[in-house]
Amino acid sequence: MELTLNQLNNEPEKVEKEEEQQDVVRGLSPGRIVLRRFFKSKLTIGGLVVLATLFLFSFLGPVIFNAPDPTITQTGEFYFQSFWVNIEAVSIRVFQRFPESQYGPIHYGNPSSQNWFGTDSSAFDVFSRLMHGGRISLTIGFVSVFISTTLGLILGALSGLIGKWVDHVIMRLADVFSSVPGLPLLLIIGAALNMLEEELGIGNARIFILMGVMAFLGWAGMARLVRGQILMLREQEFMTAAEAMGFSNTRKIVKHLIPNIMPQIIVSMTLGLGGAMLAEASLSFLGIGVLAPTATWGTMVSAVNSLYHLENYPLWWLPAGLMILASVMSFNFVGDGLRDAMDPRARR
Amino acid sequence: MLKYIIKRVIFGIIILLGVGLITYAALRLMPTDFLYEQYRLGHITWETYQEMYYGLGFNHGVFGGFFVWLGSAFQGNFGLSFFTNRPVMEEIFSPRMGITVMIVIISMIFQLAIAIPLGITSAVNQYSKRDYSITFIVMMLFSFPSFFLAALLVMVFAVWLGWFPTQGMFALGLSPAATFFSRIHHLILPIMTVVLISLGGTLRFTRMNTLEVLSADYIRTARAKGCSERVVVYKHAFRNTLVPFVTSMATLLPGLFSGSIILEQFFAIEGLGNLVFMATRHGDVPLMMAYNMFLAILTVVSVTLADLMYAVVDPRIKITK
Repeated sequence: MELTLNQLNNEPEKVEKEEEQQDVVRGLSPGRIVLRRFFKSKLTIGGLVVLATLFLFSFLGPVIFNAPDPTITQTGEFYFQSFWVNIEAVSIRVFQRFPESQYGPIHYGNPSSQNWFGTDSSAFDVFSRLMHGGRISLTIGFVSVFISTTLGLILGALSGLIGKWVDHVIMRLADVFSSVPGLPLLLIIGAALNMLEEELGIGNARIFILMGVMAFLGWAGMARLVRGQILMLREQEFMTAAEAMGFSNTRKIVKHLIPNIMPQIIVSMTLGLGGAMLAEASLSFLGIGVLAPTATWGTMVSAVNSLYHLENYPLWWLPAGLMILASVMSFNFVGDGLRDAMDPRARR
Repeated sequence: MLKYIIKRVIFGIIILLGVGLITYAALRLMPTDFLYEQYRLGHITWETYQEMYYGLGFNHGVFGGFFVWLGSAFQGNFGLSFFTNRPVMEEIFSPRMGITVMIVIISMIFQLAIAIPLGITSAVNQYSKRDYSITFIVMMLFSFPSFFLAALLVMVFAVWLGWFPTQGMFALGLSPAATFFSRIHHLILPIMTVVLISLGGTLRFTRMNTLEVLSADYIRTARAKGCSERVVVYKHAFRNTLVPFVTSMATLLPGLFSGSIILEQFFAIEGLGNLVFMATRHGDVPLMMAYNMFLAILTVVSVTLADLMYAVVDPRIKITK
């Protein structure tokens, strides 16, 4: 039994059950019933609204407020450009400022009509950084969740469907991967990427590599879930019936197994998104994820590494941190809501 | 039972070998010039360099190298840290470790002391206002990036209220007794952060388990017998939630250790996490290898022990196979 959000904001169970029966009587399709249940939970809707707002803020915001990426340009005042220079076979990233006004860049700028949240120590506009940072922070989680789900799905299905020694090998592998200390290993790979940067010159593609590594380490949970579900479903009557009808293996898997596992997978993917966002933020905070001038919410919060900035410039890190918090929380609420809606057995 | 234990131990060894291999492969991604750099700068002699180079299996591929490392590790030789030039074991099992373990254990105690009663009331008064608010707070704590929570706590309690120091270990120039209290004073905010971050999971887990146990038949029987609600909840229900609790605690411990990397970094605490962070920055293969194996052993041992404890704590569970 799981803690479900419907417990939080719905009427007591009896009323709910009656309503459900009415839905069935009314002849609503299963899909409609799931949708109805999903949208009934206020916290889930709240989560969706927050997520939609944050996505709009990050993707449409820069267009509306006419705020180009501040690591490339500095609104109105300055023009920044980064390029690679080869000095004795070593590439160095150079940032050059092109002054457009005589006043010079505004470092540590106070909030003004032009820079709503002020400017940071590199004279970047904090508000535009917030919007551009969201673009990476909000989407990076999808990469790792997608990879780990695919891996987990394939390995878990192989394990559950074939059984025997394949099952043993895959499950022992899953044990190994779930015992690998995640953060220290990511630290090692991040540090290695930092050191190899000169040779590879991958720049910010590194975060994709790190998220890929994280997914590669994180498939075990999904594989166990899929395997468990398949083992459970195989014993159910409808599978015996499918067997008796002489359906082909492909048809059994595609038509009967996959639709029954799907809800669990979608739920755990949604819940995984929040975790992946947190991981990206931690890596960027430690300086091994997305590197400094590029904005993500994680790198913005890393301003707190300097006590002086923490005390005197809360606008640099507080909104970014709150946005991480809000989006992770919303992903969790939506995930919980999805579980309640799709898996009536998990409810209570 | 004996057969089961032997099987678990063998699985544990396989897992440790796997984890070791993965860690070693990742470490070999790093440029290996660091060792040579140490020699060039005169930190180590040519003999030590040679010994380290071959001891770490740098002359072999990833697989061969790992087994060379494993061989010397079995002889108790984990090599010198590239970063501090001292034996790795001395570095890890040092006062630094004591500080980290202290933070982990104290926060574990506080976290349990807060999470268990709250989780139980939340489950007993299901659907009440209290339950809703506890559940909401749990979800929030669950979603906090640890460093952001730490920053908020420092902002509120250290900067605005000025109750606690912002960073560091202890104030200088005090008498030994005063230094001791200064240490505690400095550790309050870090411990508070760890407690709050890990509280969510434990609370959620307690609530879930208590709800499940409360719906069991023997609880109805206990109520029907006329037991007071206190006895029902704390004697019949709570004791039965302890079983899954043991496993959950076992998986929590290694997480707290790796979490300390971020928090010790932020609070400038000279513990194990801080050492490890510095070590990765300096490409310190022997230290990272030893630390990761330490974490993996911690994970495997606590999970295996928890599974065995299952059988001890709950006589109804029979171990088959």
